Amino acid sequence: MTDHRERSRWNPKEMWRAIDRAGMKGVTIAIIIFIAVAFLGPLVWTDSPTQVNLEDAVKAPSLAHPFGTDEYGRDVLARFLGGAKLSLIVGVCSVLAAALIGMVIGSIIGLVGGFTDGVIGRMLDGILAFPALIMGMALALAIGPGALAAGLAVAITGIPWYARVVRSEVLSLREREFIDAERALGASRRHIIIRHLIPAVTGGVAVQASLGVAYAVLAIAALGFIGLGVQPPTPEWGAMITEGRTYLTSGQWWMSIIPGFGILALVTISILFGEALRDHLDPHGKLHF
Amino acid sequence: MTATTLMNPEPSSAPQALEAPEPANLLTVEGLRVSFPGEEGMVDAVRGVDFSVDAGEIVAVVGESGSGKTVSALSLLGLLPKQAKVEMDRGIIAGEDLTKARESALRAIRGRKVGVIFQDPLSSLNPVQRVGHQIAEAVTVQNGLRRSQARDRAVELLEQVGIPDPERRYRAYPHEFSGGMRQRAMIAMALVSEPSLLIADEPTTALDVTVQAQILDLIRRLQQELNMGVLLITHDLGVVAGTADRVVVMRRGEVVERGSTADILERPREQYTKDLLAAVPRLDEESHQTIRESDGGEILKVSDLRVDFGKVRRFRPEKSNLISAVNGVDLELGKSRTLGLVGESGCGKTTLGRAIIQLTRPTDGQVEIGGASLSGLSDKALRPLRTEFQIVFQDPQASLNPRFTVERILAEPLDMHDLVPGGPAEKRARIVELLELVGLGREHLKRRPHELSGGQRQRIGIARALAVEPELIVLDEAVSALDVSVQAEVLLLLQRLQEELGVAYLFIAHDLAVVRQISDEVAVMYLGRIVETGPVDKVYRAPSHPYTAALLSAVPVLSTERRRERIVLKGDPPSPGNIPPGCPFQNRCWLREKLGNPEICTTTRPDLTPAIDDMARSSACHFSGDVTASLPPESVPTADSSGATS
Amino acid sequence: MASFIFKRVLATVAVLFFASVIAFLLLRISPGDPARQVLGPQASAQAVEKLRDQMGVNDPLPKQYVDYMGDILQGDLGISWRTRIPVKDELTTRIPATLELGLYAIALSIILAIPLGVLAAGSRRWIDRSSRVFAVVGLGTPPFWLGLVLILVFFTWLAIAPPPFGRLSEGYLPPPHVTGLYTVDALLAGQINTFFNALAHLALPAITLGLPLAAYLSRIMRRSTADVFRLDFIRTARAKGASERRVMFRHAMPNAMLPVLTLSALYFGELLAGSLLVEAVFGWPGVGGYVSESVLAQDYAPVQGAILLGALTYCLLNLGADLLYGVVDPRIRTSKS
Ligand SMILES: Nc1ncnc2c1ncn2[C@@H]1O[C@H](COP(=O)(O)OP(=O)(O)OP(=O)(O)O)[C@@H](O)[C@H]1O
Ligand code: SF4
Ligand SMILES: [Mg+2]
Repeated sequence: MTDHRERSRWNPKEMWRAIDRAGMKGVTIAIIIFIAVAFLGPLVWTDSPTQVNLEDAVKAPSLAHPFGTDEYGRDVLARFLGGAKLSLIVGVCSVLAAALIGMVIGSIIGLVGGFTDGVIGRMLDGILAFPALIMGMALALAIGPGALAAGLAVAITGIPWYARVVRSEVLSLREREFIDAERALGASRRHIIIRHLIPAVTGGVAVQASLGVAYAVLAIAALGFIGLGVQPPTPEWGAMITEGRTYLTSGQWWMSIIPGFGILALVTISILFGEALRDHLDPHGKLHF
Repeated sequence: MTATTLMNPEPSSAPQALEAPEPANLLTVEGLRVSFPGEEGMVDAVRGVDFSVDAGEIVAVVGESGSGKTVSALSLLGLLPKQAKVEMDRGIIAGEDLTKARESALRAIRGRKVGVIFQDPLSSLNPVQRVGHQIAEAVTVQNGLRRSQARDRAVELLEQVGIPDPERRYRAYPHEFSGGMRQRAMIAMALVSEPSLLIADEPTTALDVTVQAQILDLIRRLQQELNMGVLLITHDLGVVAGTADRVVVMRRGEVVERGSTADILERPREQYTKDLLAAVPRLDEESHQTIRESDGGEILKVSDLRVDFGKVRRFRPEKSNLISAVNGVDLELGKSRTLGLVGESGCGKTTLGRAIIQLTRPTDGQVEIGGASLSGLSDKALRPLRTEFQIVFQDPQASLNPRFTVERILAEPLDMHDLVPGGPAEKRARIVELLELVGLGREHLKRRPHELSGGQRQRIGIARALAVEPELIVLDEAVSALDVSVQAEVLLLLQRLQEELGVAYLFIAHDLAVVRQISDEVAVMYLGRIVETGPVDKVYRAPSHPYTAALLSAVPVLSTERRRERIVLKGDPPSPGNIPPGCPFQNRCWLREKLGNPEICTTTRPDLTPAIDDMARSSACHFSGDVTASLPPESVPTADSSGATS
Repeated sequence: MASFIFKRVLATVAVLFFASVIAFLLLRISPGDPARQVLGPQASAQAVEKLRDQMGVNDPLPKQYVDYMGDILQGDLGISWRTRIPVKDELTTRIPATLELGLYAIALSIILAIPLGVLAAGSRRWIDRSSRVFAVVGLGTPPFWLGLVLILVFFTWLAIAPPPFGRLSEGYLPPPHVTGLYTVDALLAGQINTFFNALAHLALPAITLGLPLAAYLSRIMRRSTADVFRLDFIRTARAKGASERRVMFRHAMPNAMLPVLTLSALYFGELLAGSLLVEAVFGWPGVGGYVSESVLAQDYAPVQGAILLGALTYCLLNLGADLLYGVVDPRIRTSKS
């Protein structure tokens, strides 16, 4: 706070210090570990996630297969790592898309207001009536199940949330005197939007987005679980849980239970990151989650 | 019970105290220390403070923001947030030993023996409960009365604090009350069980002067009726002067000086108290403006300006919510001169200021700045003209983008209008020059607004306005949010800048004393219209509109002699939504009453007309000539300083 | 107040319109041919074409939408081609099962969340910490997986839970139909054993469904209570001499519940999605199970019916929450905009 020297934005050391000051060291480390596991894990653990080996089917965890094998004898660890990468990529991409579109819509209706705001606002409320899972089911029927349908469902159902956050932020910013001061200085509308509004809303959007990743991962896995997500043999956590389900009642738990911990971990990290970010940006609490 | 004499060797000069030979001590505290957990360990907000209150006296605790006055008072009743750490050597409140008292003992005192009222009556009332119920709740809690009895008592209390039509008002919600009525309701709540001690934390800070005068009168009246002791916390020495018997001056969590009100105000011993008193702008002081020849021509000319909000509903006229916030205003301002614009909250000052610089587009009328008419210009066409006129806002925090550094804030106007030819070095040089102009320096370049004090922030706001070298700056309550000492500095800065740069100011404020100090001329606004204008000293000395006279008379002055008979206006300003025919001021006008309610006041709207004897002055009252003569004899506000002149 | 209600209702009608258009479009743009599905692969092309005309599939989309909504408003949700049972009938028999599960889950989460949230907003740090851990884990746990874990532990390993299939164990007959909620009906009929059996079957699915909700509720409750306790009128209430309990229940709670109310209504869609998954895990004969079976069989009518029904309930609930907000908070209903 008392450091007034010119700060270089992309200096890693400074960034790390800023993260530490914000109290976000723990979550950031967790995120880095998770990304490393998802992307570097398959390079270290080189078993194929799709190689069928019926002789090895349904083997409990062992040294050769630390997470055991599934009904086709595929290595659960390899599939777990594949699932991690897939969840991360689909979740993050769909959330980014939703956040971008939502941000644009939210700032437009926040700035224009009036009738446009009313109509588009009600449309967004209409989308809110569909949870991602339901939207995903419908889209899976419409365009066929897969990563695209799941990602689209998450993106579409996410848009209203981002639009809302941005809209309310824009509305409250419009009331702030520094925007009036800009106008009095002769700033154009474009200048105000680009220089003042967008930087001010990104914080709220980032918070919403990291909570959104948590939600996306859960929805994608749920779609996989009911068989409408990413299709086999591609490893996907939700589908892995379903596949292992029949073995559960006979005590062969690892096929179903282990991927669940992956989901739990990724979702928890995203929530914690979002909350830490919110606490940092908004210590006195305007936003709810 | 001996602490009072220990700490206050001089006998209290309050008349009540003389009548009662041994006033009961209500509150004694010694060595009060309060600290809060901060980012680096505990932060001491109060560091060893002593004070006491006896029955029947009003003790004021004064100090600037952050001096710890509110914290001291609230700590006595356990009303601070839980994380606060409160310690004291000795503490007795209403007979209860605070060093031993537990939460339950404190609760038994609160409301019963000690009543409390707070600064912001809106947020201090529960928004989802009817006002009457909140008072009745206090009755139930304190007296254990049944519902209907509690209700009756609440209505009675509402009546007692002067709320008209209490039966009906009982059922209103806080947001349906005006600020003054809310504070009355808070007082009613504090008086439920006729406590012997009343703690009033800045009870009038959120109110207009005319309403402030009403509330202070009410507090004094009740204090005498109930023979209460009052601990009055305030930052306003004017309030102290007319109200308190004894004063405790606080600064940074410590007591600087204590004594009788007369001593503190007239014979202060400590330098800090002297400085504080010197910084208070005084109504009874001539304008500080150096008399300058008006060097030719007008910078601003406003004619018949109107700003309406809301809309008319043709088919359901009862649903129309059209408000004429500015309702036909004519103004002129000479180059390098200052026009003060005063009026109560909601009278349209801000709207007028914003309409002049076209931040709010006027509904009708003409604005000319530097000879160029601004009416009907598009946003785009206005943009290059905006270097001529600028604005500085009330809240220095809100008017600076929190994520920008000072350098970036000041670079914006330069970039926008390409004001600095050359490279970054030239630009930075110009920014430093601007900073130095407002008394800051190079070391502030890289700070963000939250790393500056309130006064420094406002200086940045001024520097930003100056960056485009305007001819006119609208200062909308630009010093209102600042502590008196900082306020005085900023006022001096503004005057210096005017002399150096020749900029003209439209100085909007609700504080009449500040306006007198800085303005050449003054315009008084009521319900969207100007009711009086003229050279500031003349207007203040001999107002020619009854509203001006009432405003002036309501301002608490720094004098201990309570000899002025005040004109206390009744009621609140009516809403600009429904203005009666005839004179807009009629329902609050004391002059009209005094003249025996002449009919013309209710039938014909008085226009702003120049006075016969002095063309520089105008007033919108049919009886403008009678105002000064009709004032209560000793209430001519400037009697104490300039008796010879008038 | 009247105009406040009118505006809210109008907005809800608009939302419902958009929601129904979305639901309609989603399932109409699908590549599958509903007529072919009804008639099966052996049917002739002419027969399929004829049925397409009859079904209105060849009409322009807006007309299809109007026809479809007309049918719905008359209570006709179409027929499932898989079971040949009208969707409406199937839904009517299945709704009580879902409702019972949902009610127990909601009750459970409220019992858990409100005290947890309020306590966490208080001063004691360790309670806040643990409630936070609970909330984050509760929100992060996929409900279908949690269901499986509970089955593994309580049925497979500990063998204290009944088999995860249906609302009653074998050998029990459903109690006489009054409300359709087995626990209630069993009590009404005095069948104590049936009551306990139904309860035992409800336990794991209700926990599974209720846990994320409890986590969510406790968080918003905590934040909202903490926000209210920072407000000045709480201090006023204390200054009156009101007891802490009075401050809590008379002043803090009514204000703190307002945001909780609207935010809970927003969560309702998630609850429906959750019940779909939980019903699939526990073989619960409710609406969710019906939808997920129909989806896998590409049986459109039930899916569309259920989705619309869900959206309708969602909108009405939010309308209710808004109106209730207006009733509790006088500022809302009198504000002009
Ligand atoms: N955007 C708006 N929409 C509707 N009414 C408004 C708007 N802005 C101001 N008003 C109304 O216009 C009137 C004048 O308001 P304005 O802010 O100009 O008063 P003011 O004299 O500056 O008061 P204060 O001393 O409180 O700053 C008030 O009744 C206010 O409620
Ligand atoms: S015209 Fe009449 S009512 Fe108006 S200010 Fe003058 S005396 Fe008062
Ligand atoms: Mg104003």
